[in-house]
Parts: sequence; structure tokens; C-alpha cells
Amino acid sequence: MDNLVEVKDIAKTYKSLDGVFGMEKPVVAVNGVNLQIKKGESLGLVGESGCGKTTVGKIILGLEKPDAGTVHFENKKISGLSSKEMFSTRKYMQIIFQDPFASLNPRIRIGSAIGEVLTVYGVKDTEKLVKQMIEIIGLPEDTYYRYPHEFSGGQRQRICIARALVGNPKFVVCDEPVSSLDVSVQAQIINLLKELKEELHLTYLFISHDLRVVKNICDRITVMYYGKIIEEGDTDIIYTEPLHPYTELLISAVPSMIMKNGVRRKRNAVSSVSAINGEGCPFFYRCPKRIEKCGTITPVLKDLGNNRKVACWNV
Amino acid sequence: MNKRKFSPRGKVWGKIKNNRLALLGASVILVLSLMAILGPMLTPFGPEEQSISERLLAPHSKHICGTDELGRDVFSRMLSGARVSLSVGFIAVIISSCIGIIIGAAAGYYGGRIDSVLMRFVDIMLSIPTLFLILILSVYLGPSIINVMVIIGLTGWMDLSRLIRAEFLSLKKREYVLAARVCGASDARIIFKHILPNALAPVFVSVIFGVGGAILAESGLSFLGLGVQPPDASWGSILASGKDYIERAWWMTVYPGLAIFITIMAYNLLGEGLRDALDPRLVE
Repeated sequence: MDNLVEVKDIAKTYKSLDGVFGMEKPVVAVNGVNLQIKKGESLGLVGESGCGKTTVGKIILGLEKPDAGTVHFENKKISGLSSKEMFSTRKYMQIIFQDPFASLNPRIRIGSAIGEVLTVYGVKDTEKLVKQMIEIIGLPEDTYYRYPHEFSGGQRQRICIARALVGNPKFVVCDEPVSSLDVSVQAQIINLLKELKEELHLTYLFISHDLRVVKNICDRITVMYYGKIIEEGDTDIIYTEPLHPYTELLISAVPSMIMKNGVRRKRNAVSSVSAINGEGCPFFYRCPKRIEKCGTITPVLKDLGNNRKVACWNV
Repeated sequence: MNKRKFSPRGKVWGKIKNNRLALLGASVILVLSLMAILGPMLTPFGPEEQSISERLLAPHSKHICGTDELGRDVFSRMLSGARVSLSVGFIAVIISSCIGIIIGAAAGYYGGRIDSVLMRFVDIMLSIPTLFLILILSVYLGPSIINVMVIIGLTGWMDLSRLIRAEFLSLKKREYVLAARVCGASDARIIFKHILPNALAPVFVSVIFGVGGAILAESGLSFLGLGVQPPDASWGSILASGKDYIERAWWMTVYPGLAIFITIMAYNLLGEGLRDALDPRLVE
């Protein structure tokens, strides 16, 4: 299968002015990330808060400019293009955000919010297409004429899905689309996303910190830690045989109702230590299996075949 | 009752309705505006109609605010002055709002170098004493009503542009704005359709206060002889001609002074009511 999206060596550093006397303190968000997303698959991007996963999504969509590296969409380089040059490609890429309350303009009716992409691209029959979409996502017909404050979180997220999909995109970034919803609604939204993916032949980049959600919807998983990819592989394999100690930690941190072999999985304390100075594995200070080499030389992402990649000296 | 009650706009109106001072301010403004519009229909005398035999008459049933040194009816002159003062107030504020919104929006939305340049310009404008600037400009442009409007408009936009910039800085990172960008919306579409309508609440408050301030500035300029020129009347110029007769004819200064005072008061009361109603931190 062809790669729909290809991300090569992207890096992004933000400047924070929090330092003493307003001195600039660089914050590394993404550091040398490579991703290949195949047509029709859904790739899960997991990691803890602040590990740079949202930034990766935003860079792919051109909402942030990478400091280095390139993004290709259908084998066409799209990073570094101006918004005019990007216009023709933009139509095929969409995003669904985490917070459905912040992602709808409170002063715009749902109909024109969903139809925005159609209006911008000058599509005729906007109203008909939008109303069809409203039906597909399972909301009542009069949604078209209403305002965002009249809807609940789950309904708003459906509206955001409709807005993302009405323009017939090929690729959708789902940036924690269910994290702010309660569990029963989460399942509905996930199922809706799954159905729509089949129906409309979509490709997802599914960003989440919740492994249960990702397991449910993704074919492949990429684990990020502190701006770097540390492990990648097919969903089932990642779950059953995690290779990187951090992935293991993440999986054991998922609360589970079922106890395996009568005992709960051993849980490591998830403390956040991010004191990383240059060289060495970013996970060094939290790693239970660290060896001397880890503190001095950064492990490279090794390709183990069968979609499997891992960055750890122990493997 | 219905859902409309919970809409942001409905809430604001509910709060204003319960604020008696703000309502008082609003009704005073309404009455004054009506009087200014109806002007000539409310009095039998023209504002420039002189009657030498009726000079400096104290208020009585025929001239309810007395007459001035040329025998002109003070009430008629105040009505025609109300037109000048209120329209100067409105138009000056429209000018300053446009400048403030454009500069604030550009600085907040584009950021970076554009932001630095525009905000340093604002700093420079703010560090020049306003009265001094107004005096220089009005000497340079010459005194006339139009110039007064332009001058007051040109010197009163800085606070508003800072407000707008701050709103834009926070709103441009909202997810609905990012979503619009992903939909391919142009900068103009994002600014005017997605950000500006949500940034207007502080603008309203600033505009209401601004009208009061502009009326005050116009009165001051006309008082100094740099605004409306005789024989046209404005509240400030009536005050100025009245100051020479203050011992013999108090009505020539007290009534226009009172008109200015009441108008400014009304705008400030309405402005404060609106500010409280729009402030999300003041939720009961």
C-alpha cells in the first residue's frame, strides 16, 4: 500500500519566556519524528501529556511550522507551502479536536459551521450536503438552524465530526476526540468514527493518551516520549509484547477490570521526571531496566521488520 | 422557560434589566437623542434668532433657560448644540473604533514584527499628552465640526486597539479558529467571521465610554474656541460665551454645564452597567 502521509525528521522547539528575568528557555516539543501513514489505515499516536503528539498532528496539517523536516501528502511535499499553495491539498485533510466546547464558534449556526469547508471551496448545494451529513452523524434535522450552546458535549463532538467529514477528506487527524467525554458517550463516538472510516474510506491519525481507546480503533500504534518515537508496531503485538520499558509502563497503567492470572499487572509509579540534558535516552531517569549506555548515548529507532520499530538499547 | 434564555446575549440583557442605574443612563441617552433629533420642533425660537430687546433675560415662561447677551434663546441653542455634541460623540467614536479595531486586529492576529511595530506606535501615541495633540492638530487643520470629529477620533483609539489585540491573541488559538484554518478559510474570513464577532463585547463597553469622552472632548475644544465656530452653537461654546456674564446671567453657564454633566453621567452609568453585565467573573 502507498503511504498517504509521510513525515520525515520533523522537529519543533517552542520558546518559553518563563525563565528568570524573561530569559528564553527552549522547550522541545518534537525532535526528529518519522511517520508513515498508509492509505486506509488508522495509526494511533500515544504518549503522556506534553510529549509532542498534538504538535505532530498540527505540523502535518500545516497549523504549525516545523523547525526542520518535511511533510508529504500523496507524495507531494506540503510543509513550507504558503496557504495559497496549500489550498488545493488542504481540502483532503481535516481535524477533530479534543474539546467540543472550544471547537465550535458560539456565534455561528451549526449549519454554516459544518458547511464552512464547502463554502470556502465554493461547493454548490451546501445546504443539502450538510443536512445529509447531519443525518449520517445521527442528529435531528433542525440541528442545522441551531447554535452550539444548545448541544451537549457528545452532540457537539458529532457536529465536529460532521464538519471534518462533510468535505470528503482522505485524511483526518483525531486529536484526543473522546478524552473530554464521559465513558458511555466515548463508546458511541468511537463506533461512529469506526463506521465512518469504513464507509468513507478514511485514513486516521488517532492521537490519544488513552490506550483502551486506541486499541479499539487503530491498526498500528506509535508511542512517543518526550518528542521522540520510542516504539512502533501493530496494535495487537504492541499490547501483548511491548518491547520498550515505557510502553510496558503505559500498558500496565491502563486500569483493567479483569485481573490476569488472578493478579493485577505490576504497576510502576508514573512520576514525571523530564530532566534531560542532551545525550542519552530521554526515558533514562524513569526506566527500571536502564543500563550504563542509556545515560550517555541516545538509542536509535531500530527496524525489527514486520512494522516493528523500537528505540531501546536492551532490545 | 426556553433555551434562548441561556444564550449569552439573553444573560447580558437580563443583567442590564436588573441594573437600575444603567437603565436610567440608557433612558436619559434616549431622551437626549430624541431631543437632539426633534430639536427645532420643541422650541419656537431659532438658535441664531437675535432679539436685542430681550438680552440676558433670566429664565421665565417664554425663555425657559433664559437668553444670552445677543438675546438668543439659550434652550434653543442648547438643542442645536445637542445635535453637534451627540453627533461629534458618535462619529468620533466610530472613527476611533475603526482605527482601534484594525490596528488591534492586525497586531493580535499576525503577531511577530507587525505586532511589535504597531504596539510601539500605540505606546508613542499614548505618551503624547492628548490635549496637547488635539490642540496642535486643530490649529493645523483649522477649527470646524468635521475636524473636531476627526481629531477626537484620531486621538482616542489606543486603549481600544490594546483591548482588541488582547482578545485576538487569546481567540486566535481557540480550536474553532484552528478548525476554520483547516477548512481553508482565508485570513479575512477568520478575522471577520470567527474572531471579531467574539471579540466585540469589550468593544461595546469601550464605545459607550468613548462616546461620553468624545462629547467631553468636543465641549472642551469648543470652550477653548477650537471647535464649533460662532454663530453655530455647541454646549462647550455656549459655556464659553456664558463665562463672561457668569455674575449677571448664571443660566448661560449652568444649563449647558448641566447638559454636559447629565450626558456624560448617563453614558458612564450605561457603560458601567454594560461592563458588569459582560464580565463573566461577576456571575451571581
